[in-house]
Amino acid sequence: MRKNRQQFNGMACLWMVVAVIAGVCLALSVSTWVFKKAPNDLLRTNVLLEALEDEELNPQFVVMGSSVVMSGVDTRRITSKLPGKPLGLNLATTGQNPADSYLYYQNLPKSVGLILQFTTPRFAIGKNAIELQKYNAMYMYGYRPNDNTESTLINIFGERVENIFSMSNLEQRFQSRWVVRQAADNIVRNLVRDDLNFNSYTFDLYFPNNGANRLSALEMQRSLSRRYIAEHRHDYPATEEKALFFKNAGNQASKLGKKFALIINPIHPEVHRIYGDDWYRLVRKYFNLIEESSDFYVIDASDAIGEEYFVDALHISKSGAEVLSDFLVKEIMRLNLNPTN
Amino acid sequence: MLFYTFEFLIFSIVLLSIMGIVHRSEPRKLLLLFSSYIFYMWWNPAFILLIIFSTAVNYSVGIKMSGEDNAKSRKLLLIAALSANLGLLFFFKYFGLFSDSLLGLMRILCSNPSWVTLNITLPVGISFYTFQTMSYTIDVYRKKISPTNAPIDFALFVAFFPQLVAGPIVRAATFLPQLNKPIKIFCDQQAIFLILRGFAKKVLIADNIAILVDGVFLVPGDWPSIIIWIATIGFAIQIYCDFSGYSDIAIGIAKILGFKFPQNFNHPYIARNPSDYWKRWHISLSSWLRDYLYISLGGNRGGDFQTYRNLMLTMLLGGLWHGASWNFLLWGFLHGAILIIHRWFSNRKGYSVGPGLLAQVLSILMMQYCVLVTWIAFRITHFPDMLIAMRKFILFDFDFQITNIGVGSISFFTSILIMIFFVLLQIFSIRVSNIDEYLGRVSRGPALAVCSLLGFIAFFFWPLSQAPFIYFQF
Repeated sequence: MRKNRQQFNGMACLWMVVAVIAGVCLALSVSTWVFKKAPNDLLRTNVLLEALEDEELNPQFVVMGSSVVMSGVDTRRITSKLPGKPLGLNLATTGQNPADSYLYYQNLPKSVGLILQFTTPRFAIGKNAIELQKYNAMYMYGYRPNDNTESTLINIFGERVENIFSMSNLEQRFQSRWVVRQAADNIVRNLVRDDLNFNSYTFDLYFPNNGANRLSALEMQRSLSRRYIAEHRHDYPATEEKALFFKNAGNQASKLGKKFALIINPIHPEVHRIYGDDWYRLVRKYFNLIEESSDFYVIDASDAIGEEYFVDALHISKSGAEVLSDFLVKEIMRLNLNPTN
Repeated sequence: MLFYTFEFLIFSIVLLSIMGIVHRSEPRKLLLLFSSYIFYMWWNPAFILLIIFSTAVNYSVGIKMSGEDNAKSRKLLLIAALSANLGLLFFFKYFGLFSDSLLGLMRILCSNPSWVTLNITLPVGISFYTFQTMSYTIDVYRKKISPTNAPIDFALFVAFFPQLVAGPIVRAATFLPQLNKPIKIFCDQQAIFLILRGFAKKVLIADNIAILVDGVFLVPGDWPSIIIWIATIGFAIQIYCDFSGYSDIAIGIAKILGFKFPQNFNHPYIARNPSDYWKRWHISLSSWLRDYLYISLGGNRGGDFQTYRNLMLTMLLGGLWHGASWNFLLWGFLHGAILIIHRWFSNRKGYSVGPGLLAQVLSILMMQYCVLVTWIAFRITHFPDMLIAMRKFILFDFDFQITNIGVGSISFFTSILIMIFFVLLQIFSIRVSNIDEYLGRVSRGPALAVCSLLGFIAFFFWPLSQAPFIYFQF
């Protein structure tokens, strides 16, 4: 009797372990479906991938970058002001760095004649390359890098990107679990933060500015100190690796028959005070050297817009976007980058 | 080797398989000892020598003491054992703090001191197994227990892997008698639920809330009081789930291997006063400090002043036990001060908390407010940041501009949802009185459904970056 009871207990434990594993397997099997249904901050990735497959769109120039570019560049305005009215798409997504952008290049339609690639100065100094979460979102929405994209990025960034590309489908699906947390966050955020509206991110291919209100002076100060802590200042010159990457990005654009321009993001003027003018001089020197040794132009938009056009430490108001877009029109004309030429 | 790693899974399967083949107790003890040493050496093989040294010293002293009737000689043996134990602990854990502090002082006194500092690696679990071996030697000295003549039993008591690196601190009187009976594998629903509950606390609650806590406490000056409050409550839940989660896993594994460990936590966040709190939080450490330090110092046998002094010394040393850092000392000081204030009030005539619900709730809230303040001292090691967070916590700024909330990477709302979920679970756990027994009684269908649900949730909420158990560093 005693032995039977112990056996029963042992079997019960085994069944419990099997039940846990069954739960994990069930989660794994629905993970792709969950990912596609869950609201998240990278949902725009899917919108962009679908847009690039749309044969009726035929964009002639694209703008790539982070949420700063989403808020700050109105491609419709640029289209309307350029001779020939070339159609432009704003392909920026939240947190997209130039290495992330590079993944999209292979999917750009032949109609695209110009890539305007934004970058932060900070990207050039860090060890960061493709970000796993962003790549995971692209992967889960159906993106697969071609051999050329893979080899170029692996050659430059080594095992940091090789590890990401070599992840199996199962690993990517397990990695995609971040979407559930973010979905929960997004759902509650939509309920309690009626001042935030990220809807435009999910459909607007031209100017996905969310119309955020400008922060109060106190909040602006907090936002700046959070983003630009003096101790985080790194001295230039930046890494050779990133210089090589920028050159490769330009070359790749040339190979695909597209003009290319690298643009330094607009930066809040207060950052001059926090990081100092020396830092700025070194940033400019670094990008000037890249421009001199490449076949593309570097456009410095770091001080293209004034303090009054920033809604927080990073992002730009709608009126600021008009200023930045007009600045880009002027630069495209000056450098003869208009894709209709 | 961490409990939630693949290596540990393999380790457990191999151990249980071999135990299934070996039925006699003596070989099973040897197997458990060998496994425990492998478990420890997985982290750093060299430091197993410390455990062996500690085992040898305390075992020998125990044997010597049993044959010694002379009180003076017994005392000398005790002093020798304590010196060896505390010497190791001091060298590996506190030498760095001591030399750095001395260097700082010398820099103030003379402009260019010549000083060599050592970079000493802290052996994992040294505080736990040192306190465990010390309790054995002191108990033998006090003649509360008879020393064991079985070296394997004693070595297993010191190194038994489920509690080796992060407790609970098991007393010899609890552990050694269990080795006199046959060691039987006993895997039941209750044990599996204990382990699953521990994993859920650690991985699903603690590690997920940590994202918000770390994000806010990185620069506490940037956040208004309301967020500091939320992050502090978050940390209180995080550290509880992290540590009690480890204890649950350890107790569950020990149960499967045929050992019964004492409870280490008992709903500390419903404690109504500091004495009550220390009977609920890290019970194995607080009872150790009470029995071997507070009582040794005289306890409350002297006057008020001696009692207050003993309380403060006990809590200061309890704080330092956690680590060689001034913030842990401050944490201990604050808890000492809270205990003294409570005792002072308790000694006054006419002071007592009424039996009414409101009085009880108010006393819980007051106690937990104090506990939260101490958690700030515990969590933030950078002193200026700690003071800023404490100021914002105590002097509420009524700043509700929460522009940054809900954007960025700290998963603010999800963390709050998890915190609410934790509170609901706690209420449920308190209502059913003994959650372990309750879970052990659940019929098979619902039990399997809960297990599947846990597996399902664990897949989606498994943290992207896994943090080690907080108490590993102690």
